[in-house]
Amino acid sequence: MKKLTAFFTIAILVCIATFVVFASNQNRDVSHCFLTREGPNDDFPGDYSDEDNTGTDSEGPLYSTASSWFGYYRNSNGDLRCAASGYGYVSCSPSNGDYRTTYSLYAKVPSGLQVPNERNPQTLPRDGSFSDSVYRSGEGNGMLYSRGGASGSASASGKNPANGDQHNTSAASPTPSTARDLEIID
Amino acid sequence: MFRDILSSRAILAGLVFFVLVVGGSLFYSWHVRRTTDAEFGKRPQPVVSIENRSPSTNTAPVDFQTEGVTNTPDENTDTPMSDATEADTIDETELLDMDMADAFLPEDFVSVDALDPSKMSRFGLGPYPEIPKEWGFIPNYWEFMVESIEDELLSRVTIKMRKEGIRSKYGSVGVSSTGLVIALERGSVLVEYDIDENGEKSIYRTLAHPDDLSQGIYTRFSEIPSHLKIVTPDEIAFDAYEYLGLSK
Repeated sequence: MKKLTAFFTIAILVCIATFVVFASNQNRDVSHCFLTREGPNDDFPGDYSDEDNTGTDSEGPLYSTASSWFGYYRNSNGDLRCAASGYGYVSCSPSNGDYRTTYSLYAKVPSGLQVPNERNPQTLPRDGSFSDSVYRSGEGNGMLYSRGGASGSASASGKNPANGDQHNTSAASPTPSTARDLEIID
Repeated sequence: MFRDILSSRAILAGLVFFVLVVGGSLFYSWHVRRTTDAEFGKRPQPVVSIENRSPSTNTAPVDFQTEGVTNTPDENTDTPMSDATEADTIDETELLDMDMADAFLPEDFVSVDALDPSKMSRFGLGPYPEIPKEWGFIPNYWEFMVESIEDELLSRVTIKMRKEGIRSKYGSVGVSSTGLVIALERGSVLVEYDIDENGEKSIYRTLAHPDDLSQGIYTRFSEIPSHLKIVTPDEIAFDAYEYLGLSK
């Protein structure tokens, strides 16, 4: 009985988490993680040599996507290096040039790979059609950094003064454990 | 099965806590709405329209409205005074600080709009300008669209641009928290960048019309298509207050 109780408790928590994710409009269209497995071995310290995460969402004229990437490689001297990037993107393509969007963007890489290692440019309200993006990337010693320090996010809400329509969108780079679709290449 | 779940003390405690939080929030919301309604109910109503006054009654500009000072009804009229609230009283220290010559400048004369809270800026920017007919679908445009002072500045800027016939040359127009207008023409891309350790410009932000710059990551100026004009915020930003003739 205790196991059954624990099972249902976990199930309820998962349902709540799912509801929260969908209620916040995050990554409704795509939530994908792509892993390339080359380890662990002498070349790469982790299970995967390359991790690529993407989330996208859209509603009405609004579209958002966010991604992060982390990978290991060997340079010409044989040193283990790593590279990472974070990206956030919002676009608005309304039929009405008076459509108003309030939005935010964020991109980050592990501290030390780039200075500053995160950016969230000021993006206060904007009328009309636009696409806006923020990007961070950097490289460093592969023995010092690990996956998970890179991320991106983007969110927007819009209002149309011509008909009162309102829309929302938000995306955040998932992780291998939160992505709805997980793809592993050996 | 469900009996087991419901008999769990932790689950029951969680449910009770949830109900208390939701109930408390609803009660507080009801309380705030009730007290707000009560407060608005005490406010003096604009009883007479200045436009409807007989010319013989009053021609001198006696009313004025500045921050901290509210409209004083004409002594000759029978305007009923409602209960004075704290906000309705004149702050004597502020009154002393006032330059009395400024107090009677024409722009301080109260208008009909100034007596109607729905026609006055919530952020102290004065009477709302007339909105384009296409936006008339929204019964109260300013309430629907404006959530911040940046929103209001943006609405005022776009309305003025429309009147001047220049809005269409911009793909998008935005206003920053410092009151700077970033109006981006079609065929232009706005970039923000860092100077990296090699002294090179490393782009971290690109803003453009979606047709001009499809989704893509550009980190160097050389990567941006050559048909686009590259601009920075410093090059194209202008002051919204100055453009609108408003004081900060």
